[in-house]
Amino acid sequence: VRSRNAKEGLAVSIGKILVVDDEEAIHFYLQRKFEKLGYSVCTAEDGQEALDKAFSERPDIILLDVKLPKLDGIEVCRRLKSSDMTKQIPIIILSAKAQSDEIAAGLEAGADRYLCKPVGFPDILKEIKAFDK
Amino acid sequence: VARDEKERRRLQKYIFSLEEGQDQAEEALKVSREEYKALFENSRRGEEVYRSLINSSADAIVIYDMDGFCNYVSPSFTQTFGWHLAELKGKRIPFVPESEKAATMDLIDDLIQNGTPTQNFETKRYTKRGSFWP
Repeated sequence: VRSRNAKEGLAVSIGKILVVDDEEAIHFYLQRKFEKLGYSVCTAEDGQEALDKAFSERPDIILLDVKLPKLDGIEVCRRLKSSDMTKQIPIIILSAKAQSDEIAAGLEAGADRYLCKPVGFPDILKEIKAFDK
Repeated sequence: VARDEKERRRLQKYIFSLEEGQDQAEEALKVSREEYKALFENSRRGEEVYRSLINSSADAIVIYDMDGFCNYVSPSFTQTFGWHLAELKGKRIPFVPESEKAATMDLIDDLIQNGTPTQNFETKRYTKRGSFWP
C-alpha cells in the first residue's frame, strides 16, 4: 500500500463505489462483497467505460485497475483528477504493476492511494473506509 | 517485470477465490447451525409432548435406565404404589416380590435382547405400605 497524500486529503461519505477491472472474476467478486456490506456498486471493464461511469454514476470512490483496454488506468485517473466534476472523487489504484516507477506514475496522475495486487478484501475495505467521513 | 505482473494478477484471483470459498464455508456453517437449532427445538417439543402424555396417562409408568435403576415415575405410579420420584430416582424399586422376580427378569431380558414388547402379563407388586397390588 502506497499513498501520496495519505488520509488527510479527501474524505467523503461513501455509498457508491465504482469498481474498474477488466477481469470479470475480480469485479464480480468485489461487487458481491461490497453489496453484501450495503454499498451500491457500479462496474466498468475498460478505461473509456470507467470515465463514462464516473461522470454518469457519480460514485463516491473509485477502485481502479491500471492495465485496461481502450484507455489505461493512469490516463483515466489523470482525466478524472483534472475535471472539476470528478476531481473530488477519491481514486484507489489496485494494480499488479508494483515497480516503483509504476507506483509513482499512478500517484503523479492524481491517485489518492495505490494498492499493489495481490491484496485481500479486508485490506481493500480498510482503505476505502479510510476515506469515509 | 511482465512475469511478476502476471504472477501478481494470478495471485489476486487466487486470493479472491480463497476468500469466496471461506465465505461459502461460513454460510454453509451458519445454515447447519440453524438446521441443528431447528432439529433441537423439534426434539425438545417432542420431549414435552411425550412427557405430557406420560404424566396424564392413567397407567402407572416407570422409566428405567439400562442397569435397572429408576429414572422417572409418572403421577399415576405415585398414586398407585405410593413412592414419589424423589425417593426412587437412581435406585432400584423395592416392589418386586420374590415369587415374581424370575418371570420379571425373563421379560426384561427378552425386551432388551429381542425388543419383544410384553403383553397380557399378569403379575403383582408391593406398594410402599407393604401391601400387594393388585
